[in-house]
Amino acid sequence: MTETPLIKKAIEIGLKLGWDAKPAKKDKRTSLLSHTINVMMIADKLLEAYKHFNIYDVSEKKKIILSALFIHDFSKADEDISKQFLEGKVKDLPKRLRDKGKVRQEVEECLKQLGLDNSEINEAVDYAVSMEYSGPSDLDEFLSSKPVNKKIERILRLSDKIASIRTLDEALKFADLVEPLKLTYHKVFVIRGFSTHLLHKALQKIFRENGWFPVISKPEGTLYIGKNDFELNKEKLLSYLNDEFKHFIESFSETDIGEAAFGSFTATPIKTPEFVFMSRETAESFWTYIASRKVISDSDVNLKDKNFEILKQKKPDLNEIDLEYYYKLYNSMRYILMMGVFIIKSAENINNQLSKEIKENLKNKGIDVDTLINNYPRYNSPFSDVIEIVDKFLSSLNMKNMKREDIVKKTLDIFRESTADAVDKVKPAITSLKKALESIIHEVIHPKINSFDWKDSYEAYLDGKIKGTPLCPLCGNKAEEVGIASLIGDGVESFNNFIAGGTAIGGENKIRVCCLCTFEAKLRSLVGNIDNFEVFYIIPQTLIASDFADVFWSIAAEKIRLGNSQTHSTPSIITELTSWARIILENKDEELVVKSLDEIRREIEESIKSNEKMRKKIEKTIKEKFFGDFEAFADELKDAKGYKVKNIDDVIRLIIEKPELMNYFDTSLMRHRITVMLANNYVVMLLENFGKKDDPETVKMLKKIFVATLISKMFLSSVVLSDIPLSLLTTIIPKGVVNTPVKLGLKNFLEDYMEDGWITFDRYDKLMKKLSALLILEERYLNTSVSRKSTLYELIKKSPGRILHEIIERTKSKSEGKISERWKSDLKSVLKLLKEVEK
Amino acid sequence: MKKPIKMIEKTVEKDKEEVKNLTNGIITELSEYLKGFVPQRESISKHSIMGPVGKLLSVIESGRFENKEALIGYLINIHNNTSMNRISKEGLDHVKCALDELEKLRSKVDVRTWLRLLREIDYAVYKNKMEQIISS
Repeated sequence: MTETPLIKKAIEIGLKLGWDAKPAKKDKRTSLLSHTINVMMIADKLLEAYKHFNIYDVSEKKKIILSALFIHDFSKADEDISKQFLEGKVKDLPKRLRDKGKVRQEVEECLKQLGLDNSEINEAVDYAVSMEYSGPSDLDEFLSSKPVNKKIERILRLSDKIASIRTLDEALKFADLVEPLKLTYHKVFVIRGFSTHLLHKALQKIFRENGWFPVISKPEGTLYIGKNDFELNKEKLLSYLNDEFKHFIESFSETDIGEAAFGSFTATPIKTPEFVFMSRETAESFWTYIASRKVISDSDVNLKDKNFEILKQKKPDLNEIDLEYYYKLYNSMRYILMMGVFIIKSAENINNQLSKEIKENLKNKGIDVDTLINNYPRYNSPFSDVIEIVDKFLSSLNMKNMKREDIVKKTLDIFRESTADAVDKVKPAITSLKKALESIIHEVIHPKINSFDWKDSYEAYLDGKIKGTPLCPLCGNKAEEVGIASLIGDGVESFNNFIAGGTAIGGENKIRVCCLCTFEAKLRSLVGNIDNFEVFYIIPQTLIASDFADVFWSIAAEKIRLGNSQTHSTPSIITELTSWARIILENKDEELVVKSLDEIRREIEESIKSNEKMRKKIEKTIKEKFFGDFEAFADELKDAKGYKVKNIDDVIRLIIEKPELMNYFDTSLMRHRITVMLANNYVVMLLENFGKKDDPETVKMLKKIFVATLISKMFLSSVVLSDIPLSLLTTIIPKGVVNTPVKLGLKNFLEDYMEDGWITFDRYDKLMKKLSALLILEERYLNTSVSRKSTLYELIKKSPGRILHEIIERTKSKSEGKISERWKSDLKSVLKLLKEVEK
Repeated sequence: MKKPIKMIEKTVEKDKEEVKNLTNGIITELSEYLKGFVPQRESISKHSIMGPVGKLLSVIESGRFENKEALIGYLINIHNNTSMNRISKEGLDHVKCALDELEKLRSKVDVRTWLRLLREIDYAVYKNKMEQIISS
């Protein structure tokens, strides 16, 4: 991203020329714009690497080289040539660039816009032509062309080849072009989301440490350039993965962690006990979160509730106000005591010593732990039992005469302190998470981890064949854990072939999932409740291995969520769909796309400069690793990376210039609330409370497709939509703009825009405009007296004439049957929208 | 033994493109005819906007008349009774063309599609006429 202004300008020109809707290759999986930008970015990386390894330095020619790459596929933008090219008929692409014809004129115009003077333009064209010779058919052209710097020509060709690979291993074929350097890659075989992201980060760190430069990233791995071969060590990877996991957890507030640990009072109260017992702080915040639940702090009183009747019978002397008071008290207390039991039971599963310690602490504070546990089944019902238990509990602690608020507070404090003290003392190792981290490293398929034994794996498979192994319905791994609805989703109690036959579904007899899917669900639960989120997998078409990408996507996510709240120039993608629809129909979207990308980059720089957190984090790193000795840190930085710094301001400045140093200080601190998670060039975006609450599935799907096309255009990406929140990202080679499951009702509507389940590059703009018009029309409908839930869905089913008729019927009463001028102009805008629908 | 049930996918709309072209042709012809229809009483109800075309399409839909001449006579009668001007030769030509194409269309599609297409034609003609009124 060092040539940001040039790349920004290139994106701007490309969008104006409509390259985002033109395929770059015969398989139509990348747009011409993305391919061009990719080639430029890859060349940028390669030049940097060659300079770093002292192979050769052509930095002074960088602008010309990148500009040459911008125009190298210029001829393909022409509709006729592009068509012939896709059919394999055109061979003389280089010639067109040099001939003094229409193409050449346009090329010169573009290069001028990129800031090149006349001599630089000629040089850039020569480079672009040199990389396009494809064989004997271009021989004449080759012999008559000017000789170019062979080193540069190799970089140009290599960049183009790397940008065109489908899988990372294909890149190894270009070894002769990279010499004396080498190419290698890391690759995983399952893409889960957050957990795979941590794995990628750990692997990247190891490669960087061994002197390898990341060139491109794909969802499944990263391609590196470097020199020194090394063996990937399993223990080292595990320890780095552990670090990444810790950093990840630390980037959330204690409240987030406490919230993520809680399930529901009625089903599984503690869905992720690991988070409760992680540290003293998390244990405390769990109880703080419990205290904030309405049923504890100020429970609702339902006078018709049968429990209220029971209370009346048990305590006939109480008046109405007192009854309400006691009803609240018993209700709050029964849930607190229940949570107390669950904490002890969950602790038992983690570590026996921890459970013993909690029990001991509770006993020391006067609680009869055995009675507390033995009473467990009676906390739910009947209510007469609850009254009896709570009364006994209050008497045992002499709290009978205290106020309700004080009783609740004191009890919560007892449990909070007992849990926190026990965690502090025992410091339990969270084995279930450790097991997940150990399992996930087996998903690395390249480079091979030496200790992984295929024989073991095969024997385990055979064992499963004999005994019968329930498989995880999400990923096909060995299913070992009972699915928890609040983690995995409501479907865990549905019928599945792996559920024991002849018994009722429920309790332990639910769908079982593997430890890695549970681990992924636990990580996602830190963001919020899985049922409130719509999952968008975003695969950037630009293969950024940029160290800025992490921050870029977190700010992009904020934009998607809020828009630009300061200037209101960019509406929020989630909440202001119709504003976006208007922008698209006015053809202002291209302007905004460039603006957004540019704004995001500026915001990144600003946020780094002014980020107090960043300063604190640097101070913390120095304190932890160098005992606060800045000079020792400066020496280490000089030795390891070759940079000199005098104070923290220097460090911040250095990070702005060399963003790869962010990894040194853990970039996760830059994130706001995570609604988006960037991994190795894929992004898991979770949109909370998307659409209207009562939107039917089809309408929600249409809105999701609209947002997906918009994100795709804004951030030059492909988007994969999924119906199942925890489903794996299986499509790692995008074939278009948006991949979506098609609801039956939308089949006819979407089939014109789709191929192989993907909305294609050449058709997505049309779909976006059509959906924009429909969204605005829906707003019109909703503004009129009749409002129906599935209006958007109805609109796609109706002919434009019928829509017009309905709008006229609904608005004519205002005009008293006459066609007033105002009404006429209103209807004109409706007709304009209908034209878009008809296209 | 019971006869096995044989399932055959019906592919009546073999040539989608042809059906589309025919439908568009009918819409254009009927819209052209309506340009020469000036109702005696100005109103913006669909019934009034569509004039004789609305009536013609509902008669076709119900199958009350099938004969082309009868349909033309029916339309002329309504036109002359409800319009400010009498039907012109050009107008009549448009109607004849539309009816010819409707006949072709009927032979190409099944009943279900036919009814759907008639409704589509109806609303498309209405939209064209409204467009003309709004932009005048």
